[in-house]
Amino acid sequence: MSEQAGQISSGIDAMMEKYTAASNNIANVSTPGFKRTVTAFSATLDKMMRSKSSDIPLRIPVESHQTIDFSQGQITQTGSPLDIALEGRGFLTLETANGPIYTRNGSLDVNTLGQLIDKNGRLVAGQSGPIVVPRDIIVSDIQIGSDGVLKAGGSELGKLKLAAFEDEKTQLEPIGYGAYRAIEKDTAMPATNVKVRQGCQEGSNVQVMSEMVSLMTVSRIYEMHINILRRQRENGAATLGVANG
Amino acid sequence: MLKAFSTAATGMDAQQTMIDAIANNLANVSTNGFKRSQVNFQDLLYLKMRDADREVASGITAPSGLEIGSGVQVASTTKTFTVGEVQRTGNDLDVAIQGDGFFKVLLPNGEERYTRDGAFQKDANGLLVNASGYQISPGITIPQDAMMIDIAADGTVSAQTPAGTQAVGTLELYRFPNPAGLSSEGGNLYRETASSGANVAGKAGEQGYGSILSKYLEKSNVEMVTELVNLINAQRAYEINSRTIRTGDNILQQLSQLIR
Repeated sequence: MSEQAGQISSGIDAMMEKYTAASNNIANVSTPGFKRTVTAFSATLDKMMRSKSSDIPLRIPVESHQTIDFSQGQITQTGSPLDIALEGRGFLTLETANGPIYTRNGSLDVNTLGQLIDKNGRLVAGQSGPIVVPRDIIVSDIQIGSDGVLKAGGSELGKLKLAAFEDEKTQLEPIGYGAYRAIEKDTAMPATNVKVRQGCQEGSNVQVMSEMVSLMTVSRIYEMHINILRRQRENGAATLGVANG
Repeated sequence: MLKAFSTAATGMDAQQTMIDAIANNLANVSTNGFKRSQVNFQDLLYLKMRDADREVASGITAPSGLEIGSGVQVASTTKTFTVGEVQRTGNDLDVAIQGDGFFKVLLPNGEERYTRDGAFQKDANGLLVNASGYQISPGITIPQDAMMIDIAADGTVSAQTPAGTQAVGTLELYRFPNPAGLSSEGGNLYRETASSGANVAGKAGEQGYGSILSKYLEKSNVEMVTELVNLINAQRAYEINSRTIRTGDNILQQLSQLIR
């Protein structure tokens, strides 16, 4: 009986992780460039069963697995010259003291030195160091081509360093504030299959409908687990009653 | 208690800010030279619960870890300096900037402010002032006996007096390296900041500067439909975040009922 209770509690834990992930997805339904977290259970279960020898495992702990779904978000126009959206697979590279990080949120700005930054003040990387907009150039005169080249008044200011990964899901981890970090160094490759859209923002790829379904699933499965626990307790009490006469 | 509660609360908080910004945009749908605000969201830190690549059984590593996000926050609000629609008023002293640039006005304490609102008037001394009575800089004095004022596309102001037509001054335009960095001061005025950069003076119609359209006013660049759609989105997002909390509440309720 305690085996069953342990099994159920691991099931409840996994459900709670799915719930927490759904709550974060829902909170970020309007965050530009946000990529939703997907929770899966079956993969571990399957592997666990196979890893044992021919005998049936007594207890199969359920463990949730979360991956980030890097699919494209909807692109909307904002009209701001420094809002860019990426279409296709790729990331903007940001320079930090701890090395490069990657983002899909292209709401950019310029700092007092004229350097191109994101809304958190992190430097946007160009092909050769940070991109600097000379202070005599007016931001609205900047044109960003679909290849990521910034031009103003006929002169080239630089080219955005667009990075891509062989498998984003396993090579990147989220660090918050719109950014991802490469788990292993030097896995970033130059992006070839991405287009830059100026004056646009990429919306969050959270699908409200599927998140609502997640919430409902969590709620119902949780209820089921709790009911099983209750039934178990009742059974235990009944057995005790018979034993005691 | 449940982490999701605080996550959903950040979502509701952020959507509330969004609704505040939309409310202000909508309230200013008829404000001359008004520029809409845009709210920028970003996700918060992630908590790492389990590493990817850890061994789950001999020789088998997990393909992915477990990272739990902690919600959303408002990163910034930015003004969108797209040009608003122009509307004819027929008033001699109404001007609209077609393209980029700001007018400069002087506050009574001598500080400089910038505006796109060209609903000008003349004060008791004949000085050209904006709707709040602040002097336009550089100052332009209109002769008291002027019968008609003409403002040309390049900003030259000329007055028709009984003695003939004479030029009385020029409206100068100012641009900023990063207009999104200007500080909104209310009263249709903006203040120069370190992030906007120093103003660059120029003449209307020059390369990069807008031209002056006399007897017209620039309306707000708020688009009603866009704002209303955003409002619906924000309201629904708020509602769904509250659903997250209700789900959590339900979970806790069942748990507390189990232990009796």
